[in-house]
Amino acid sequence: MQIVNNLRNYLLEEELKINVFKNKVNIVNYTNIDHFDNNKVIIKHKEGSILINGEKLVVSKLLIDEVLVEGLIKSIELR
Amino acid sequence: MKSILVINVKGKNIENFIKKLKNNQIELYKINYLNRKEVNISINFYDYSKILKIKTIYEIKIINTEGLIKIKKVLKKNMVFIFMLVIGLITLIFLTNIIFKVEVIHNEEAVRNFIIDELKIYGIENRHFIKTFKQITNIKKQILSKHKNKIEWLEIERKGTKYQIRLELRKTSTAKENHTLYHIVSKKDAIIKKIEASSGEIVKQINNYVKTGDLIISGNINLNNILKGNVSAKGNIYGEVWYKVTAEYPLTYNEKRLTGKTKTTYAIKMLNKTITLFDFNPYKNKQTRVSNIFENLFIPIAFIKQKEEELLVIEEINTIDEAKDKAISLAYKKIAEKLTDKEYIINTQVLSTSIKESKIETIVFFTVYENITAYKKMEE
Repeated sequence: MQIVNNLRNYLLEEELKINVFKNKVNIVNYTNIDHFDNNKVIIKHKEGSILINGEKLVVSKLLIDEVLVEGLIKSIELR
Repeated sequence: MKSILVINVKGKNIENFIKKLKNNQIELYKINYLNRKEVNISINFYDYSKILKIKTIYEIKIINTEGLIKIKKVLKKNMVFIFMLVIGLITLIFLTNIIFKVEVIHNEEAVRNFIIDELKIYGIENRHFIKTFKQITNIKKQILSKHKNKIEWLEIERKGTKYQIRLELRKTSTAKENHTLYHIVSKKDAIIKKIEASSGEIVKQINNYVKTGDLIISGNINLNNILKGNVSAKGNIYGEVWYKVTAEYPLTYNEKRLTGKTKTTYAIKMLNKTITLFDFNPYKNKQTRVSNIFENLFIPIAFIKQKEEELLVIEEINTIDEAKDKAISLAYKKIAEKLTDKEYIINTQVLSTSIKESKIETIVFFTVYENITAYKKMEE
């Protein structure tokens, strides 16, 4: 069963994925954006939420399952 | 390829509008904030109508297009130009494949007309399609073999939309059309077999043995041993002449020759194994030039393009008798090549056969019926 789950995850990419770049955070497989302003963005996913703190934060890409946040990122909290 | 629209959105509280878009399942590929009240967003072309429905107080303007829609737009805008360009290219290709002039380079008009008429039979004439290199080679071969007594050399060269033909006529050893008088003498040592005289006095008989330079038809006309006048001797003398030909043939013979057939195939190469794709009639023997289309640095697998040329491999292992027969036929061929339609080989006889450095060497004696006519200027 584990093998089937692994294969399914590999093919469908259902797992949450967070890619952190310089002044950019890319989140794949989120469920909702709870809040966003210049200093704080809260993004929900299946098992909790992600809190991004910083300055001049903007959402520069917003797809059904993918979001890209840009700005001076100070911290990323997984809750 | 997707069709992307870049829209400019103006209004208060842009974040709320973006949330609204998100709630309506509209994908935003790129969001570029210009100021607090203005933003440029890249969206899917098909979502634009949805956005117009939910825009409320926000001002929306299309500022750019990307992807498929842009290509369509550019094509539509330049449709007339593209259409004319395609028509122009087709016309150009069509016209460059048409012959507009066939030019024969030769001094004599009769020869020029003769060659032009001959080329017409093979489809080389004005306002006809050009021929491929292979077709030209075949046409040259056919004309040369058809007129082997008349044409020595022929070259058909394409210069743009013009064919330029150069040729050399075969020079025959006939008496010159002038006022010089000639005797007919023997070209070689021979036994006379036939005398065709149209002018002059025959001084030798059939089955007479003659040496090189011996007088056969004299230009001096005698009556009762008194010289009555001079004419230029005209005619043809055929005689039996002899040749000794040495021919060699190897006991083992290997030859690799390109047949001229080529094709391009694609294949997958794994380690040392090559799997050719969609090659339903593979060449038995071939020479291949390979170029890589795709190659993986880590896995020894590559997708390759092969230019294949068919090879004809001739491998012969001859017995002594076979090699001897082939050497004899080679010698026969050597003699036959020199002969014209009226000449022929009367008899052949193998004089000796020996083996030298894995080759058979055969000496063959030929008796040939041949034109032995030669002209000698009459002395004053």
